[in-house]
Amino acid sequence: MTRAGEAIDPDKVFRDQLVALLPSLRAFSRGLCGHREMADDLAQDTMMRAWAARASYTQGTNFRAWMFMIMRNQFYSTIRKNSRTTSLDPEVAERILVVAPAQQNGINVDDVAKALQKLPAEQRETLLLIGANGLSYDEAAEVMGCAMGTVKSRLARGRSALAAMIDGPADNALFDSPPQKAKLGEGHEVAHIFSDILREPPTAKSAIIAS
Amino acid sequence: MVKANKPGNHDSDSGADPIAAALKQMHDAVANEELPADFLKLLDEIDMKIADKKASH
Repeated sequence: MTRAGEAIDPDKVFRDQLVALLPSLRAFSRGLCGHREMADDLAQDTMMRAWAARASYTQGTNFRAWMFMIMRNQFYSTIRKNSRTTSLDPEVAERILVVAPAQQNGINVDDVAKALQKLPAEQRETLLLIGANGLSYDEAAEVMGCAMGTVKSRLARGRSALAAMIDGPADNALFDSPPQKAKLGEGHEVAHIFSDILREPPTAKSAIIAS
Repeated sequence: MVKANKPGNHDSDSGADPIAAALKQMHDAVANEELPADFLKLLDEIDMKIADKKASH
C-alpha cells in the first residue's frame, strides 16, 4: 500500500503484475514448447519484451491476455525463423512436460501431455489457454487474434483429437504413429517437437531490459 | 466426443471432465515449481532499473 501523497510508480506496478503472472506464463510456455529449457527461454524472452514494451500497455486492461499474446507471437515468430521441421525425437518426447505420472479419472496426465504435443499448434494453444489457464473464449480470441467462433472450433477439434489419441485402440498409439507435422497458419508447416526452437542467436536480454 | 468445457470456471469443470482436469494438473505442476534462478536474475535487473530511475528523479 502506498502512503498518502506518494506517487504510484507505473514501472513498479507493471513489475508486480509481471511477477504475479510468471507461474502461468511458464506453464503456458511449457505447454507450447513441450520442453522445459526451451519453454523457460521463451518465458524469459516474453518477460523482457513485455518490459521493453511496457509503455504500450494500458493499465487496467487485461494484463494476462496482453502477456500471453506477446508470448504467443514470440513463439510463432521463432518457429518461422527456425522453419526446418524436425522429427519426434523419442528422447525429446521423454523430456516433455515433467509431470509426475498421475491418473485423472482414468486418464494419465503424462499421456495427455504427450498427446497435446501431437496436436496442431493452434489447437494446442487453444486447449492450453482455455483448458489449462482458464481464459474465457473472448480472452483466448484476443490472445490469438481471431474470432470467438474460431476459438470454439479449435477447442472442440483439439479436445476431440486429444480424446481420440488417448482413447485410441492401441495403448502405444501415441508413439507408434510417425512424426506428424502441425499446420501453422499461412501455409507454414512446423513439427510438433521443436528441437531447434528458440535456438536463434541468444537474445541480448540486458539490452532489452536497458530500454 | 468430450463434453465441451466451460471456460473460466476451472474447478467445477475439472471435476467433471478428465481432460480438463489433466490440463489443469499440467498447468499447476509447472506453476507450482520454484522460479528458476534465471528469472530471479532478470527480476533483479528490472528492480535495479526501477531503483535507478527513482534515484535520478
